[in-house]
Amino acid sequence: MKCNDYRLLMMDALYDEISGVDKKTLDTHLKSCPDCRVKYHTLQTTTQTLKKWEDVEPHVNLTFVSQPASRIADFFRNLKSWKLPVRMGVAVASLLLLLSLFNTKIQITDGQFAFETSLFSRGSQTPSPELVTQTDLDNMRQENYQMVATILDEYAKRNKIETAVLFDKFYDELEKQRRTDLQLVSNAVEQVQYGTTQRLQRTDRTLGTLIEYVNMQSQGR
Amino acid sequence: MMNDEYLIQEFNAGNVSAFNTLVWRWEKPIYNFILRYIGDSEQAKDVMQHCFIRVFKSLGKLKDHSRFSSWLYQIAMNLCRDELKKKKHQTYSISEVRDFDDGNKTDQKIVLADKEQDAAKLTHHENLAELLQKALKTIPEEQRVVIIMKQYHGMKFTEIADVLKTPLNTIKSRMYYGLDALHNVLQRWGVDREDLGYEM
Ligand SMILES: [Zn+2]
Repeated sequence: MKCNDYRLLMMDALYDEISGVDKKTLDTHLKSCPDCRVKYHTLQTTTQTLKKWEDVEPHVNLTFVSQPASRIADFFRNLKSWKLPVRMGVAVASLLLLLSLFNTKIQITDGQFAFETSLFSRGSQTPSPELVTQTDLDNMRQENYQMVATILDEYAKRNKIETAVLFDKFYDELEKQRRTDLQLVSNAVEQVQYGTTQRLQRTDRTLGTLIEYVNMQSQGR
Repeated sequence: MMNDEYLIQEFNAGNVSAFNTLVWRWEKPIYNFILRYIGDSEQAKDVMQHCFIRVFKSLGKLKDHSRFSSWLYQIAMNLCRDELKKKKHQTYSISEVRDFDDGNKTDQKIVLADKEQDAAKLTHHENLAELLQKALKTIPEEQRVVIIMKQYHGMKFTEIADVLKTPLNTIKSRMYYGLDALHNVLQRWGVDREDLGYEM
């Protein structure tokens, strides 16, 4: 073996990754070769120097939150590149999410949608949202995020074009609505209780039409 | 004991806080890896953030969970490379660009960087971290990354070879030349053992 051939062994030895046999081979050479001995010593010194450079704290607070609202926003951002049936699915999904934000319970069983809402019920009842705490709201969002995923799947499977026409009309309105609502929810829950009756009524009308339509579609199959 | 593999499983099952535990566990090593690689703390924070976002997005696709740390370093490394490439485009002077065109002649680049450093002469109060950071910057990237992984992340040579997808002996050889180059740089800068705070 020539001197250069011992370089790799030196690396192994330097970091205790050397086998017993190799260690002996290296030691024997180092004893008889002053050049390599100096070289090895230099390498050791350099690694000792490097060792003195300590890690530092990043001082960054990286926390990932599960926030369906922002994921829904992502959905919309990506929407334009999606296929039409999927777009429709998203339109419905976002609608359902809106409902969910206002204390509406949504169920989907075998492709049948069921809505149970205290807020948007037909009749003359005054809307009275019961969004008690942020935690409740978060939980509800979390659940409904799952729901949205299910619904997206449903729609991808169904792949029905005829639903497209109607939903497409809703889409633009929903997009506007969504912005207002997400803003509202993230800013302050109590805003729901004040001065938004008008907006809620507007939502109610829009949603009412769609709910009927969706139920009609679902029952028709 | 919640090991990485367990946390990954939890995260894939929809538990985001498991991911935060992963971040909490890895942010310091990853930050220091990036910092030593690119040498700027603000940029390092950005890159780290990108790194974990990328991990967040693609963790579901990682098939062999036992390879998580290797995979994580791979992502961090790729982002560092991108970052340095960006930097090169932004700030390289004509002489430096000429050296980069020079493909394999990395030695020439080192000499050039050294001369600049010599002219400035290192001040005594410069701390060790700054000194070594500068020294690391003078050696080729492919050697630098091996040194960082080996020296500061306790990775075995086989692991480094896996992360870099490079033969084992090549890795060891880069380590050797990297250390050798570092030694020469420090010596040329006139950094002696006292500067480094050795008790002799
Ligand atoms: Zn020798």
